[in-house]
Amino acid sequence: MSKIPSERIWINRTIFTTLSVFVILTNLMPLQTTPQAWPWPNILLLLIFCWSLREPNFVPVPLVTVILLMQDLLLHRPPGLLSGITIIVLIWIKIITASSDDKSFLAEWVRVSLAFAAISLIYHLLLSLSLVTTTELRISLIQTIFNICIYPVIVLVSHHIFRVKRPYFTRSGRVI
Amino acid sequence: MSNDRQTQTDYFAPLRRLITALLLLGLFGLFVLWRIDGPRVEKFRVLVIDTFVPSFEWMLRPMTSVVKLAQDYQSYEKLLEQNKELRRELQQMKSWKEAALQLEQENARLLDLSQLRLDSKLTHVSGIVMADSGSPFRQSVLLNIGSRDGIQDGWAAMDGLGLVGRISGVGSSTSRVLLLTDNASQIPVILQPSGQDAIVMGDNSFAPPVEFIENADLVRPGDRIITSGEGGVLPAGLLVGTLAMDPNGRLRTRLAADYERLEFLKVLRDYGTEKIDGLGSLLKRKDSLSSLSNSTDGSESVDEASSE
Repeated sequence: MSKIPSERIWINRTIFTTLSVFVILTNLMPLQTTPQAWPWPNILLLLIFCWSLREPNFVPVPLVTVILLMQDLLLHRPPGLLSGITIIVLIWIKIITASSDDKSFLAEWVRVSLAFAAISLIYHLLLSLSLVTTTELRISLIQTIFNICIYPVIVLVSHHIFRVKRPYFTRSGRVI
Repeated sequence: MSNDRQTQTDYFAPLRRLITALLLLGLFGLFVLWRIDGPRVEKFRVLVIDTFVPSFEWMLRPMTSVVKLAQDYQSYEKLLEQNKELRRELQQMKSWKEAALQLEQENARLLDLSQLRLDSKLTHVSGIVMADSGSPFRQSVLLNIGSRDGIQDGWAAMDGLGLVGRISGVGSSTSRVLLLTDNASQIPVILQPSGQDAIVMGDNSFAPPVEFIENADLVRPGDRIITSGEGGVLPAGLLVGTLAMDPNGRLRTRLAADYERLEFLKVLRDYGTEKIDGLGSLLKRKDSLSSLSNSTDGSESVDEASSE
């Protein structure tokens, strides 16, 4: 049981921030000026969940908040709503993971899938409740399915390239 | 070691929880504020985009070029096929060019005869497309021109041929163009040659449907769709596309602008048509004003109403 050195934490926080900015910029590249039938998976959401469940020290909640809010503003979403829902669901999943005994990847995948579905459904519900013109439910459902399918790939890449490994918070007891 | 860590977490846990709660409160508060006072938050959004996106242009531009290069490479494989097709099209175009030239000359002669003055206000500013909306739910692009170039909200953005969208959101060096395909886009149009009024409503599909046609029997697929300028929304007479019918029998727009290659857009300067208000001095007779002493109140109110 070794404590992670603080410089490694800070290096990884920087890496995470850079990755997020890169993902947002790739979204912004003017390549999709026509309406797309098949949306891209939300890579930023996948990264946040994967890293937070594996090494929450690398992705503190305030950093996630700032990045998500920037994404909301830049991608012309209603500001704050999706970010807020994502963070609540993220913390909820972290608590469930910390209290559960099942540490297999399959269990993690199921939990994350539920989280993605919950996020997109709650987002839609709140948007329609607050009378904002809702985006198409079909597209966001397809995107959720893509997210769930791509999640293992993101986990593998994070594990092998960025060395973000097994859950750490179960040992330290830190959730938020 | 683990004990040490445990105490540390216990010590900081309430603080972290408080910060998280405050952040969540802030996020949802921002959303509620956006619902109540949209324009102010949108102004803030434009400010953020205006500072963020141009500072990453050095990265966006090469990345986009590389991806486009790869896409172009794929199309090289079909070069022979495309070449044949282009030759065929060129042959057709030559006959059209001949027709256009003759019409242009005729038009010039007629304009000369009637000494018509063309609207000199329809000049344009060209901008480079820096970014798209980034999500599959919204259809918009970001241009690298903004209020410092005199861009104003609501102006029309066109590519070489047809209307692309309207400016919605202007920063000092960037501006957003809401494309005709976006859910929020609604453009008043006229269908030629029947002259029917209609509205092109974006629905996040490639061919936006044409709604509210007065008499749908008078229009048929292939009709030209141009902006009507109704309500001062856009300058009149900009080409939008042609009418088409989808398999379900719904009328849609086949857009004239090439949405797959939006690299440069021109934004038309449009300061609106001048309103003619008040009574003309020729119509107002001095003696009638003095004789109708009772109606002075009435004429004043008319003046007030028209000046508003």
